[in-house]
Amino acid sequence: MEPDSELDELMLRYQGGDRDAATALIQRASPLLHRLFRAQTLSRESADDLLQETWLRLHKVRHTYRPGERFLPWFYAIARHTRIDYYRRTRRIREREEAVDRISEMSADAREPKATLDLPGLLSVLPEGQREVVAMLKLSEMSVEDVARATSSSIGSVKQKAHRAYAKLRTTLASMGYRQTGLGGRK
Amino acid sequence: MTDPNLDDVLRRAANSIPGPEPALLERISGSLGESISPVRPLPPARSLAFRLFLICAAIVIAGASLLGFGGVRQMNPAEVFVVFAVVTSILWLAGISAIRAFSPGSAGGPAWRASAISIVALIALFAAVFHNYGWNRFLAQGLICLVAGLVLAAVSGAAAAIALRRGFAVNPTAAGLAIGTLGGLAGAAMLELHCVDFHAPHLLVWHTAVVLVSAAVGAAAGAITERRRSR
Repeated sequence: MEPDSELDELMLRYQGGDRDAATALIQRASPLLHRLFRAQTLSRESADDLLQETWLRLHKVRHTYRPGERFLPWFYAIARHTRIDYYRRTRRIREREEAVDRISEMSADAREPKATLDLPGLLSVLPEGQREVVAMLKLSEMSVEDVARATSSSIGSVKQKAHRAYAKLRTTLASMGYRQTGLGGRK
Repeated sequence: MTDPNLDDVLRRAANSIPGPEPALLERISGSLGESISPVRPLPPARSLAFRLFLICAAIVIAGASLLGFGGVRQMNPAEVFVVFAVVTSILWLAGISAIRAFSPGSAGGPAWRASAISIVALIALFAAVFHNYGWNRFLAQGLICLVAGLVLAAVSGAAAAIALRRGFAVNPTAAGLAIGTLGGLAGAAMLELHCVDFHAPHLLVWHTAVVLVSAAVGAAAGAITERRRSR
């Protein structure tokens, strides 16, 4: 993960018309965003589409980034908005059906914890809002304040969602056979 | 399982997700390439807020000039000070909230919070300052004030939306709520300058209703915009 100041600097240069800075920003910020989408959308194809659509949208509204402000909350706010629009238009119902199928598979395999945990499947047990907060806090390593800005909510609300999400995830992992030894472990 | 354990599980699982293909990133860079040009960033939030405030103030004074300044003339100096200090403050707060609604990733929490604070502050103001609980011509006078306030709210809201047109509302419903609240407060401010009915029920119901209705209409307009954009 690049230091925030570097991303801020690249964004400023991109606003100034620097193509190299735009390319560097796309290279550095996209993996984070793609991972976030994968954790939420469950499909690589959807994540690829969303990533493209996000950058197109971001390009149109790049003037709304204010110099001196942090890049990540602004970036994720636009990405989040793009994802919400995308879901409404296209694959929401199908992916929910997929998520339900994946939960069933995970529960059936509870006696044999896998070496590699299926993250999108795990996070799909959470309601939309909690899933989003956990993904941003833990996968993108954003601060609570950044997540609050990106989701237009309060810090208290973000903390509450994270707390509830963690309680639910603990229960789910326990039912799958994961204990305090963590990934692949059984107590 | 402790939080650090869970963090570790999530991190390891996340690291196993393959990233985007380099070809995809090149395609994205290529699609933007030709249209990358310098753009003028939005002005600082405070500067925009001041601009919004001046626009709303000008519309409020223009509206009161047309209808008359009877209301403010009949208040005593203490009432004038308190009423307009509070109205000015919540108008400023609503302006900041509207600007944030059009600036992705802004701090400040959800837009509804600023709207709720504005409405509660207005109610508290009227309840604290005006103590005549008569009901003379409650409906007839009330409807006149409501219509006048909403007309001015619509003009102020439209002017604010134009002033913020370069922004981008990630949540159009929230942005509509913020603009509607701002317009409604401008309408209420005009009524404080003009309206000579100082009965508490009249102020608490009809002057506050201007803000509530305007905020609701703004939110509805935002929701319609959001649905259309999602198609």
